[in-house]
Amino acid sequence: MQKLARILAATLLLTHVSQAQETSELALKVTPAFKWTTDAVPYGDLQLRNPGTAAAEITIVATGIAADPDRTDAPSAIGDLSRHLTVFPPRLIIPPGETRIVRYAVMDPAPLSEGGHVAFIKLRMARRTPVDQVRIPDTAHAIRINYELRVPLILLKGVGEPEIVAQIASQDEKKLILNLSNRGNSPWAGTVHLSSADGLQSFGSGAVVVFQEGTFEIALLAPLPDTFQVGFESDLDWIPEHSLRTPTPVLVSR
Amino acid sequence: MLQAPGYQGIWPAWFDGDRFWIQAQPFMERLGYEVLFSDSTELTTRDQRRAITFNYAENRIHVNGEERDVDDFAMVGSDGQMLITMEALQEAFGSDLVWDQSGLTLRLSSAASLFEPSRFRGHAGMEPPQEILFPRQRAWLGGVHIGYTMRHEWHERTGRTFTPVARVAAHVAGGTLRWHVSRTSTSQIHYAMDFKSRWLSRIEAGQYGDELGVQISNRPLHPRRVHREAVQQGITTPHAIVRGRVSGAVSEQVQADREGRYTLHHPVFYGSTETTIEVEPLGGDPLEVIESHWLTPYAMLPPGHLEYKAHLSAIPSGEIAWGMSSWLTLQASVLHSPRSAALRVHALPLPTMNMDAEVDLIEHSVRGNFQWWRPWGGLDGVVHLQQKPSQSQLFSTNFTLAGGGGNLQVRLTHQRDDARARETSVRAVLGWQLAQFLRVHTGVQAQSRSTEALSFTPRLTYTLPLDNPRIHLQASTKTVGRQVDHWQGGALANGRTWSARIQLRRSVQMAAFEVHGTFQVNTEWAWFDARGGWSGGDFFHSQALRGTIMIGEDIRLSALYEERTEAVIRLYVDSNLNGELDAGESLSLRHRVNVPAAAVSHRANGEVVARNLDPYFAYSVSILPESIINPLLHPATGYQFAFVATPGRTRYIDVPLQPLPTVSGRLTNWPGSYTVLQVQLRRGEFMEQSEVYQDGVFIAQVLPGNYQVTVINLLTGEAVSDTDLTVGRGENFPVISLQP
Repeated sequence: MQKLARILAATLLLTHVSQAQETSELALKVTPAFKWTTDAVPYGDLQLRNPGTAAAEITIVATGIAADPDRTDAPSAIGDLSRHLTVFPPRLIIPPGETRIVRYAVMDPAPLSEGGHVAFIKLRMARRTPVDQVRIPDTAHAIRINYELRVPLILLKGVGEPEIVAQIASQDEKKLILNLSNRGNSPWAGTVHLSSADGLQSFGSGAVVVFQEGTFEIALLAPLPDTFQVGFESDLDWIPEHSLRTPTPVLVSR
Repeated sequence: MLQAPGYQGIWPAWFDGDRFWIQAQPFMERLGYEVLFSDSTELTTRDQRRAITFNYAENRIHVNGEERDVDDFAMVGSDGQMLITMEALQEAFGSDLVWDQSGLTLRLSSAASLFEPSRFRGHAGMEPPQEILFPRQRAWLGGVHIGYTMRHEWHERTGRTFTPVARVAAHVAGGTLRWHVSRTSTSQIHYAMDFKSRWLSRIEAGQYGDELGVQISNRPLHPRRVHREAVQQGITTPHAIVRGRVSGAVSEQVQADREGRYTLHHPVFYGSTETTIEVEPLGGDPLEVIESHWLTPYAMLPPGHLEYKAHLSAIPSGEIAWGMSSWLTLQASVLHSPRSAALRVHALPLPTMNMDAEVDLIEHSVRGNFQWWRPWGGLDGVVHLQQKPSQSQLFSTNFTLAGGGGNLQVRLTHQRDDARARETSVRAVLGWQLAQFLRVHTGVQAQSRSTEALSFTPRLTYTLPLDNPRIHLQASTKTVGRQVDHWQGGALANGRTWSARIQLRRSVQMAAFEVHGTFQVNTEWAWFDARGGWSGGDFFHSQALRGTIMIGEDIRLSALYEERTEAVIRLYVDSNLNGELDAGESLSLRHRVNVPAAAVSHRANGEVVARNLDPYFAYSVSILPESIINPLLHPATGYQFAFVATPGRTRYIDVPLQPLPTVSGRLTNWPGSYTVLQVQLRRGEFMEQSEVYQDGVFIAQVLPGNYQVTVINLLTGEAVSDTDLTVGRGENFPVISLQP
């Protein structure tokens, strides 16, 4: 999971907006970048730090996971947590170098169905020009670019049972691209291993998080046989034991 | 001493004669860990990198699912909380944590990225002073602390004695009355008034020995924390980000100019201060780290401060000190009996060295001292030359080295006086942890002109691999020359709330045999101590009970020290928003509160108790926002505030958590940038200011009621709009048009 956290590290250090007088740097760091929790602790906080040199205006919006139109088994689908989530404050200004806390809570988790429920906490960031540098535009507003970080928040109620199907999207000598689709009631995160059908030879691995569907690239250590096994290894020690089932390995044939 | 990113302070630990123990849950919470499960036998915590379980019943530690092998690392304390050893912490944190037993310092120096520094914002010295919402309390008749000690002794030769001692501190007529009563000595009574003036902090009148007298002083009523602000300048990579840290917490972050010059400011604390300068060049070049240490003794006054103390009685005395600069303090004192008039100089020639020198004009004596300290060791020396009443000379130097599993101390002393001839001695002491259960302590002393010219004192401690009680066996001897002086052996057992020791000693020279035993019970409300022994055919035993009765809003029993006080912080959901704890409003149970300069315990009923507080000291309190489940609940005090520990009574601090209505307003029809505007909501004397976002939105949380909303143009200072707004419960979405 540490690898995953690093991959998903929500650090954005960018932007020189086109206005000539804004030479300071806009940046935002959010901790944690990814959060799993359970209905026993349905609340927490995000730490927002501004490591840049410009003040940042942050607007926070929580959205849910988009419903899969192909699914007919809606009751066991991944839930939308955003409808139950309260996030405060919805807006804030972070001066350079400072840290602020944004708190969230699922006020009443009891009606949630069994399985995983997802909300994406979106943090939209915009440069806040110091008052003494503000110029009244004489022609038109210059282009302003807003950046957005997305922190997935997954709440597990009861047992999460991801059900992952793997299909080859493309392949060459060096890499394999897999389409992973999740038909279960919970997202899954961990390490995917490619191995021979008997599991003795490894062809490569990589960290991945699967919500409903995703494409995933694995660097190959050796040429793949016609039939190989895709194995899943959960690396989620902070999720209470037994609350998330690890998907069973699947055989893939070319 | 705990040094963690953003935090440096004293952390309570218990020494069982072999290992140091700390309370697991408050410690992990202080480090920013989320507690998933906690009872007296198991603690499960996690942060973004580690999930740690300490399991007392199974004697196991799990770190991210891996089992770590540590023997009997946990026990259950007197209040039902789990205690763990420093070794267990080291096993859980690996190289991120260093426990230096010889220096009694627990460092989390390499854990800056692991522990979120903002969790430690409450550093006592680092943080900006918080607003004192709960100031010093004064009352005509306030609380009373009655500290008592009752000792019973029986000696075969002298018989039975019973010695009751009482120390009463009462909050009377705005001041503090202290009364010390003892059966064996004259009772002493003092009345003290404290003031906030720079030139007068305390007037005390009462009985001093057999005399009546008055003392006045402007010395601070509590120990200072910060001595001065240091300025560090340097030249580095142009435009690099330069970050100053004090004990891990960021004190200041600046950007070097085009020539690479930077200036950083940071506080220097009394005692030791560790500062780090991190230079982060732009473009992702490696971080450069410069570490430095500072040593400041309490004798140094802050620059420009003048302090005095005068005692007026039949035996008067006086003292005055002046902090001449950040590295020099001058002091003068006079004493009537024995007569003395002394001048003293305290200096800091190096950041890690202090020196002092004293000349007594009446006794004709000169005394000098220096101390040099590094985290891994130190050197100090004393010179004392005296002419009256007798001639004497003393030269002494002491060298210490600590690290790994051992420590070494070497002391060299040379002295001469009228009564004795010249005498020189060297003493070396080496302590070493040989194995997990075996510790060796060896002392060698060589002394000139003595019958004990060369002595050797080895001691061996073996800890039985038991969980509860912890039992240590100890054996030691002393040889003088080639002769054995004595043999000694014993056992020490520590239970959850008790400890017992038995010691046997056989003196070879005197052909005598001695037995000593002690038994202690330490509870939250009192301490009991029993001792007994048999020495040279003489039997004796004693029993003592010590504690404090605190009478205030209620009556509590405590094992506090004299002159210490406590505070009880209570958070409650103020559902009717009247700011008072009403009958139907219950205490919040899940909240977590830090008082960085004090040890706190969270009671099951929601009370947070801060014990052993210095009276008059302003303690800052930080409420961990993440521990308040409802993100819309807002502490009426803010998340950080301060209170003054009141002498002689328990301080109750009630913090209302209020479900304040939110105002998500929008300004419209403004031709320029909305960020130059500010919104002020006024209601009587109350005013809430709110910044305006680029799209004209402003956010505020205020009590329900009618407000006057004024929009200010910050560039001109003019009010561009003035309207009335009624704020109801829940969410409010007012729209204010700025053009008619």
